[in-house]
Amino acid sequence: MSILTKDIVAQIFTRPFRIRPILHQMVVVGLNTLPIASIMAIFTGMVLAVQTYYQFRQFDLETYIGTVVGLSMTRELGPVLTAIIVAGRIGSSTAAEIGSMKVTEQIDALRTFGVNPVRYLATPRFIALVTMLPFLTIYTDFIGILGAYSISIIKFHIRSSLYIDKTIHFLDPPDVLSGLIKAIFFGAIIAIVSCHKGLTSGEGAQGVGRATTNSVVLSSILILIIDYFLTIILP
Amino acid sequence: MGNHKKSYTELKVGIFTLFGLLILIFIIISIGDFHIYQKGYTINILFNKIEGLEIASPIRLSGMEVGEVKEIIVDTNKIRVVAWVRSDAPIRADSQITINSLGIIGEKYIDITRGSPSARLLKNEDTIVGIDPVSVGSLLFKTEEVILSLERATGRIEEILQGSVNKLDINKIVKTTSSILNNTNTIITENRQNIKKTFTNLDNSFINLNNSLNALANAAKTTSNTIRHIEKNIDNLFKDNAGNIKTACAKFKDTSVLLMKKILSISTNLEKVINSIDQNLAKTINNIDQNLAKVTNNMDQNLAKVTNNIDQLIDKNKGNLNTTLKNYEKSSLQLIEISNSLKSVISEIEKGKGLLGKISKDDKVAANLEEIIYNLNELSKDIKNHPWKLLRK
Repeated sequence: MSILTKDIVAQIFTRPFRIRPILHQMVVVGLNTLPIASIMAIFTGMVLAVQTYYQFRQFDLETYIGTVVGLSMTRELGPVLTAIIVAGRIGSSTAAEIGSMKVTEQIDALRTFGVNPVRYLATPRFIALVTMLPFLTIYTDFIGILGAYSISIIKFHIRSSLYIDKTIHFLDPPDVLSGLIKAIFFGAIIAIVSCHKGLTSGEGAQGVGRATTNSVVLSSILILIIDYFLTIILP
Repeated sequence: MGNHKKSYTELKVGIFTLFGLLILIFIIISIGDFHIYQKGYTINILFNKIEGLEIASPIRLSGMEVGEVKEIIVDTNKIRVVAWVRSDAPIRADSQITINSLGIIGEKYIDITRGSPSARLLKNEDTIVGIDPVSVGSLLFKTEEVILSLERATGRIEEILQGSVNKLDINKIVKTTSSILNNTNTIITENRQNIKKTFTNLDNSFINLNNSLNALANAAKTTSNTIRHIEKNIDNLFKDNAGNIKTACAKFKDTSVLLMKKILSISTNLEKVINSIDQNLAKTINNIDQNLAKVTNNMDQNLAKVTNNIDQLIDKNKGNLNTTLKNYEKSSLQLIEISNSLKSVISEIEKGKGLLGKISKDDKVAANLEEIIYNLNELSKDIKNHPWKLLRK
């Protein structure tokens, strides 16, 4: 896997650039994932708001929902949940696509034509995931906070200005930025794991299925583990 | 077609990333404490301890957030907190600056009071000394003490309430006291200047009073000195003329004794004179009495003759009686008048007990009396002028 990583990173800086597959992958990763990510985000935000409300009401701290939602969305839930969704949606499809290409010996065909399969298949996905996942995270952060805000105002009758003030007051730019840095790492994990599983998939449809499953499971677990270490490292 | 599709993809990616960046910028700006759109100034606040105050801790003016802590610098003996404050937030030279905890989370913030309107406004880079916060430990210790004393106080209040004092009364007292305090407060704040002036005036007056008292004391000193001087002079005068005064006094004594003796002899002679005057007066009065009796007798006899004559006339002129009677009536009326006047004369004479009565009815007596009085007058003059005649005899 580390060899693959080295290959992918090396291929990024190899001329000539092939923009079109990258853009294609960007659309797939970013725009096409946005709806499902938004639904995930808005409901996560709302659930978070409701849970926090029932817990904080005991201490008369309802107005701090904004603080809790804002911090948890930007620092943890936004990047991690988005990454897991992307891992499920893009990672699986990548692994399946590359795996089936491997099974049907298309990779070998590419090699025969003198095309570097890593350069042709893996690098565009890597670039697309690394760049688009932070943007997706920005969207999910914002939408999640918006969902929590709306539920707090409509359902719990917390004053809008107070909620916004509490959100803004306790949120600092480092919180948001650390979430985005995490997202970059998660994008890289998804790309490398899914490409690796695809390229190393076993024989037949079974092998492709296993590769897909393994890709999702491994990238999800790696995301959570790396998230822990990143949380420690980042401010 | 392929080219068209490609540009379409680029557009999608472009819009996606652009929106993402816009949201990011929006979030960062709104949560970040950027003061790009706000003008403000920084002040330095000095503390001995800051009880965990951090950079970016809020600064509140009368509870309103107006800025934040920018920097915390450890100076040689104080901790200097550099605070950024909005330009429309007035912090005055006598504003009280404390470090407080916010809510249950315990976030520290700097609390600033408004200060008095007369105090100077702080400018950029001004330095002000803050009031050091009380540590939680000592606060708890003090709280315990306070609670204990409160317990004692409430026990006493309960005793009082159970006793004679009415609850309502206490309520009233508390209310009135608070209103009085409020009033006093407003009066004091309203008249702060006046009170200050009054005190300075009082001060000046005291100084003036002191000066006047000093002047008075000096004057009193000089006066006492002069009095002492005068006393000395008088003393000396007495000492010098003591002999003369003594002799004068002795002489005065002698003359007064002589005078007394003379006065005594004069009074005895006067008594004798008065006695002789009394005797003469008695004799004169007797004479007057006798003369009066003779006069009345004569008058009686004349009246009898008149009546006789009338009788004869009546007998002779019986015919003319009627006319005569009428005449008689007239004359009798006149007679009555005469007798009345006589009566009054007699009564006056009778009444005339003293000298004056007698004098008024008899010219001779009056003349005599006048003579006597004249003589007496002469005599008294003589005695007055020549008292030695009496002594000589």
